Amino acid sequence: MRTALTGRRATIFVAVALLVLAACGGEDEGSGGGGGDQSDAGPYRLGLVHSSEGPFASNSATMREGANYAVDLINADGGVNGRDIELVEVDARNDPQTLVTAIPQLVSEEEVFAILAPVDSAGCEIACAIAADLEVPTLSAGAGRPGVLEPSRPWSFTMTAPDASNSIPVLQAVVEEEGFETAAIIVDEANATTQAQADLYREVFDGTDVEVVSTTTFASGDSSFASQVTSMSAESPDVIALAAGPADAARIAVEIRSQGLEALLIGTGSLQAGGTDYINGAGEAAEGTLTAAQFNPENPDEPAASLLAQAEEDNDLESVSLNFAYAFDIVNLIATYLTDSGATASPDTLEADRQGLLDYLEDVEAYEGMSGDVAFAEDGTGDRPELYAVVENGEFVISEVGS
Amino acid sequence: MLIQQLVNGLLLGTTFALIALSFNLVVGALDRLNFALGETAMVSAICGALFLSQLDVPFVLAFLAALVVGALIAGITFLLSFRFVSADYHTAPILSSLGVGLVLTSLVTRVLGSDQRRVPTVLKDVRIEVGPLRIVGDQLIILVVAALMTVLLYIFLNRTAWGMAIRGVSDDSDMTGLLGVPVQRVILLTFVISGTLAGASGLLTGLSFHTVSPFTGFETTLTALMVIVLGGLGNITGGVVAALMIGVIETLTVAYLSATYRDLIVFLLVGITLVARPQGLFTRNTGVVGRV
Repeated sequence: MRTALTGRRATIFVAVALLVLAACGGEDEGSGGGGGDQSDAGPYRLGLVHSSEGPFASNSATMREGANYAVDLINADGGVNGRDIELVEVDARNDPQTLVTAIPQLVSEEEVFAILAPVDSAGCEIACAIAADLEVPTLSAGAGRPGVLEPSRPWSFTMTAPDASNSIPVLQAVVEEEGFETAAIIVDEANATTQAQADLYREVFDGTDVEVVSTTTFASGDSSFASQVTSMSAESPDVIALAAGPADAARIAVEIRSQGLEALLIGTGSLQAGGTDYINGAGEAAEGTLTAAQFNPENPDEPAASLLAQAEEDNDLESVSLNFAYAFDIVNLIATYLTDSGATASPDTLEADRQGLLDYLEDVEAYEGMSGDVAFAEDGTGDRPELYAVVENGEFVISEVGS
Repeated sequence: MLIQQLVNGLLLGTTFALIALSFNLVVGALDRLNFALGETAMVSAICGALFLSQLDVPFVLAFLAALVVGALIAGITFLLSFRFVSADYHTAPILSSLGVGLVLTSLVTRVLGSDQRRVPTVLKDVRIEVGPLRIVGDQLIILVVAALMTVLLYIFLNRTAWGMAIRGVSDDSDMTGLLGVPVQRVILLTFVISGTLAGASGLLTGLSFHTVSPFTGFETTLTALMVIVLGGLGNITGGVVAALMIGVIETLTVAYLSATYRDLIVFLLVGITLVARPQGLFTRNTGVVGRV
């Protein structure tokens, strides 16, 4: 226990030191100063919107874990400006109506300073737009559908590079290298994010002269995929593209292998972002699955390497997932701003402080966090490297395109 | 491909048939619906999946465990929601059993988490191919076990004293009681058998879908309700036929139309049946409202 605590404190020290360094490096001269001791002011309150249901429930769960881990570390180290950070959590249960009522409630009743938006694009689009109307900054750990932030800019950000800009070049390179000729797409019709993934696959296959011989559909949470896989099987595709949440994709993979299809399974970055949910759900059937990726849980660069190693140890994780790391970085980004600006986020200054956070996020150039270097493009999306992942022996192995 | 899809549909239908049989038994005994049976199937399936994946026991043992869990839960549901509830309050058992279902889902998610659980493949290397038709090992298990359970149930109901007692209570519980049959014990037995069927249905469905989720309970109940509305409330043969029909319709809809039309078409069929033949497609006596 003593050893673990010592290691944790050392990590906190390293993380905070780097946060301060990063903040100093990326900010205007006048923005520094710190807030001193505000311990009488009560905790800083951040909203966190997750979803225990729906196709991206597992992504949402890891996002929640990452955010809570960050808050625990910060509070254990004395908080920010002498104040704890408190997460006010809402379970949207994949229900847009819940978002419509929950976001204004977080803002007006809970008076949160900023909101960690849903990880899924469909949920983020709604939540961020409502929050933008109320002029509250939102940051999503996983929303990657093209245009997802358009209704809510400039108040919204996502740590993720859009699926299209990240996944298309990666998957095209892989498809060309493997020399595939035919492909099948299976798409969750009941979800806007997965429908966008299907469009992405079509673009990948169009760009590589691969013929799409079968497109089959399902609805989120469907249990049986025998019918869809039978239809795909009749066309004997070389590659099968999974436009599905990790849990659904896992069941599809099992059905594909149980029917004896040997086609390569491919996914967008969000499949890898689902962490182990896909691999645990599919078991052996997941082996060989190839996805685009933008986050390397084995990142050797500091401070990511130390933060990742410590997160694995503290949370008993085999590997840190994308949403965990991104949510961790979101909380630390906000904490860095609060530390640096000395914002009180009190009712009197809340509006100005939110605007201050917005300006800070717009100007971040290379924040060094658990997920690597973080910066935002003009449209508020994350600027991330192009990687790909292959499931080998029950885990995603990350490589750079062309390696 | 059509033949393969028809077989897929029939296999899906067999899992529906078992849960519909389970509902129909209770309706026959009490003219009441046990709305916790979907969750009973879910809990049994999760227990079976845990036996298979965590304890690595043979499928037969995991299957028996699922049956026992199903029987136990159904017995407890009878005591909680039916046994001591006055017959004058028709809605009380419905609401109470719905509550039992919600509690079961909450318990499972609290204790075991909300993740879906993988049901390992049992007969991995078995595959029968006849022309365009291909049946894998687990599909064979589902087919054989479901057929066996249906036949055993039929024999039990028609060839044993307890089975006769169940049929007697189903026809006229007052008269059967006057003849010396312990009506409440017979009803408890009926619940236990229905729970056993639900348990079997749960694990076989898990085997078919490769996973079980703690949130599938109400969906299972909904499917069973559609089956028994189509087949006729309390009609066991009609229930089996309707289950196979729905399985085939769902599969063909997904294969040749779209997954989003699947429920729509089945609901339309149920709606039309309720209007045109409220007693169900295969029953001649009173309709759904009259029975429950």
